[in-house]
Amino acid sequence: MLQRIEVGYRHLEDDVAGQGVRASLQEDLGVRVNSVEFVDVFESEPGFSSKDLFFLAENLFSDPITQTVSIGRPLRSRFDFKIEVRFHGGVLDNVGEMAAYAVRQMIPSAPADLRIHNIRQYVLHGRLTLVQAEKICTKLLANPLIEHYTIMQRKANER
Amino acid sequence: MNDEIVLAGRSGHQLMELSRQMGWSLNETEMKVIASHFLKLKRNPSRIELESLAQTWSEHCKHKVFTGEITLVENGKKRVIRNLFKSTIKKATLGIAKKKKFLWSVFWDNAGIIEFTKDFGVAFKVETHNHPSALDPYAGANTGVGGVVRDILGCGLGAKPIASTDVFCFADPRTDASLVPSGILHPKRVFKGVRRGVKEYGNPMGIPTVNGSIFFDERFLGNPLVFCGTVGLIPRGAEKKRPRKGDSIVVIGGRTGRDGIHGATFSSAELSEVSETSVVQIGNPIEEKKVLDVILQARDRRLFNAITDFGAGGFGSAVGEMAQGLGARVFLDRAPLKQQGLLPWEIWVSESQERMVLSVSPAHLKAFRELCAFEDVEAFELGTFTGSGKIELFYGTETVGVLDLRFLHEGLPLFCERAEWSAPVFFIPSFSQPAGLNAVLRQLLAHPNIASKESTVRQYDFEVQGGTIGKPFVGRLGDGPADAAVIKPLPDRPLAITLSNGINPWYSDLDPYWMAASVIDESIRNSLSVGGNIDHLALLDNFCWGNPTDPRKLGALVRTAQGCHDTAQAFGTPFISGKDSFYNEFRIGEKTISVPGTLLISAVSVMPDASALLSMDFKEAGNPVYLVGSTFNELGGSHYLHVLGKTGGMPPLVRFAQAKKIFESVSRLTRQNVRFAPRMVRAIHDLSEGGLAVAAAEMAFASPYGVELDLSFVPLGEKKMRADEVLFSESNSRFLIEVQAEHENAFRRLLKGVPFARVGTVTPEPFLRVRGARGELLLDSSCPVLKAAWTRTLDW
Repeated sequence: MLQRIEVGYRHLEDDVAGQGVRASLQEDLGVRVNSVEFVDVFESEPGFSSKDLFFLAENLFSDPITQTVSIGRPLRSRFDFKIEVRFHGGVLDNVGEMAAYAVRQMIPSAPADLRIHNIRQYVLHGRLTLVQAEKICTKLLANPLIEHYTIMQRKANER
Repeated sequence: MNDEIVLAGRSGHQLMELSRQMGWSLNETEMKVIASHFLKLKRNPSRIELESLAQTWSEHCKHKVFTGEITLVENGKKRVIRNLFKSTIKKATLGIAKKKKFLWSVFWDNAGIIEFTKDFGVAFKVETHNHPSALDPYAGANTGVGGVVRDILGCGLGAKPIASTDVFCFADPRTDASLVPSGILHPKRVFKGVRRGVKEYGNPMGIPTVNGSIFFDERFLGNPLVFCGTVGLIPRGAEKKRPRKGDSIVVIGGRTGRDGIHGATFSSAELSEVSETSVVQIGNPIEEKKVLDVILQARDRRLFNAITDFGAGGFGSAVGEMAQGLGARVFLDRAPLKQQGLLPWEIWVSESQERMVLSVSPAHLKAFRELCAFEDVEAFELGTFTGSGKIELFYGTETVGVLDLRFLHEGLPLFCERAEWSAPVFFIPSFSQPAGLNAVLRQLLAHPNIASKESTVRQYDFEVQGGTIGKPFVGRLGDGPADAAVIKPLPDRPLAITLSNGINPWYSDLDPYWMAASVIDESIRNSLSVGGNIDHLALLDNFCWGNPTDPRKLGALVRTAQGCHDTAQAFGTPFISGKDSFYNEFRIGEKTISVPGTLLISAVSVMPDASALLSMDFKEAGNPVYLVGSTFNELGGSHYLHVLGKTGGMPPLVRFAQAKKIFESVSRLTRQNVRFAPRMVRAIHDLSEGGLAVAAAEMAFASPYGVELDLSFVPLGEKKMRADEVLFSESNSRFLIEVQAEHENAFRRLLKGVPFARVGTVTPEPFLRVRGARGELLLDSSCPVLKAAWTRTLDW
């Protein structure tokens, strides 16, 4: 079974990646947003027992002082747009491979065919159109040659 | 053999069509030679054999243009050049090698090696990674660094990488997004991606990135240039290598995958909106660091007889190269794969990163395997070197291909092309001297080519390994632009290495010959400005050109190579390694944009005494400022004309005899400098983009001081020159030097015989003030204002 771990920052000021994206959006694309939160997503296949999973989430995937983790469900439920970028199959995913290597070191009983994929998630807060979100993906966050992206938009009646 | 491909009976046109479809980039003559070779063997070639030939015969691997036959029509006269490389660049080196004895290994290996101390050599190599960087800037630059580091690891029996250099050519990052056609990434995105790619390979590997340069021109929009260089240290005796018959072919490092198939042949193709995507790869610096650790230990224990890296063409190229004069049996099914289902030919030509191949004698195989296991590096035996003169390829028990080594390496038909060259006619643009020169100077300082690159350089770790004594940024606040980097790699020896570069494609629009001479001059000036030594200095050439089948572009290439030869010979500075990259063009619809003919010269020099290190920031108010070298009215290709929106002008020439004298004098000056207390030469900066005005401004705003100059004292090469010409001319072989007041006489004595003059004084107030011949104030700017203009352009 596929398991998903999402890791983000407790405080916006620690989220350098998110702040960098916000600045680039403004400087390079002329798009203003209120804030951007960066979330590191790890998808593991096959999954682990919940005991192992909690152990890994605390001790491998996150820094418990600055970061928070969510297992099996989205870390950020409030957003205007949520963008996820992942590599096409066959493109080297260094972070994912290194995570799998580390898991094997920490849990010797981990399955040999363990695969972990790293996905970059950007949680955007601000008034944007879907067209703008598409542009943010193609012009800044993803290169369609090696990566694909998904865009999630907050439902219109939510606020 | 299965998967045979029938060549017999196909017309030239059909053969070309096949080559194009398969992505081989072989031309009609080459396809015909291959067809007749297999006709003689009375059999059809298999896919893997044709793939091997295509990769090995690619421009990338065989340098067909430089080794081919060029019929040059020069000013109406015809002459045939057989092997441009041998008759220009190599010829200069061989001539110099008779007199200078510091060359250890030139041209044949993955890197050039010169003597550092009696027991250590310096290896240096600069590669280009343009096409991959156009598709994905991050990944392209990332693997570019990884590739050149492997060149250093695979040179001789392995050198230890101690420093990297990176030079880029982009379009202006301020380009309006609406002017960037679809299918092309915005230049700012390219810039940021490339920078991150360099950072995320060099830093994790623990190799300091110490020197570089960035040049902007709109013709790099669809085809950026990314030059990656690495310097290594190699113990004496390890510069030679030779695989032996019976040795195992051992591959270590990353696994083989489908990524990076056809990179070698891809580099011979023009980029278009629909380029192949399997050539985009991402590097893994941690893997390469482990490979490095294995190689250096195995080298010192002499566990292998030869080594090379897998670059373009994968196993096929590297094994084919090592097996020359021997033969090899290769078992492709033994290769550990990243993903299942690769065909034998894909395994054979895949260019997956972080892999090296070694020739290990059976006696050392066990020890070598143990070392790899200890360092957590995967190693496997791909096959053995034989004496058969053939490469025999197996998959399991099945023979999948047999290649005759002689045909593989010598069967390639000569590249024959026509080149044209006619002497350029220079016209001098006529315009009156602009009124507000202060504003022009600010514009120049803000031009991206001149503006501070600190925001880029600070992202690189240039301190790791602890040897960077001459840093990329100098001055009291550490934000003045150094001319070159200085590395002191051996803690117990006083010797140091300077690394510098020269690049300016704008001159090649006027005359590529003088472009070549100018960039060599610039790289040497930069080196001498930090204390480099003209008697122990070597050069690397990197050509990036458009389509070589265009006679005018090929003519310009010939002219550049001649410039390289004449300049290197005149200065006694040999070429030790180089690289060429062609087809740097981009097609959008019907329009083809070609990059300007670009030559990067990288210079490496050995300083006998690291304490002779110099920097460019003014040190003390009241000290006299000297200008060494003559100024000519040479505004052609200058940044001054560019910001004024003018074209034309004379490109800067190099007066070889005088320039050599100047270099020798400056070199002597910096060597003698250590005997003076306080030092005689306090600050030195070379004059290049933006000329005297920019150099003086930089020296001032890197320090807490200012400077006052009087143009009437500037040594002129011609009679009548206007003030703006004197201020902004980019004439070569010039230095601006701050001299300690009490040592002025000694300084003057040491410079006897070269043109020089005292042109001003360092002032306590931070202002740049320049007076003209009648005493009028031409420039009067506060240094903080100038500095702000200089830092703002690229401060992201």
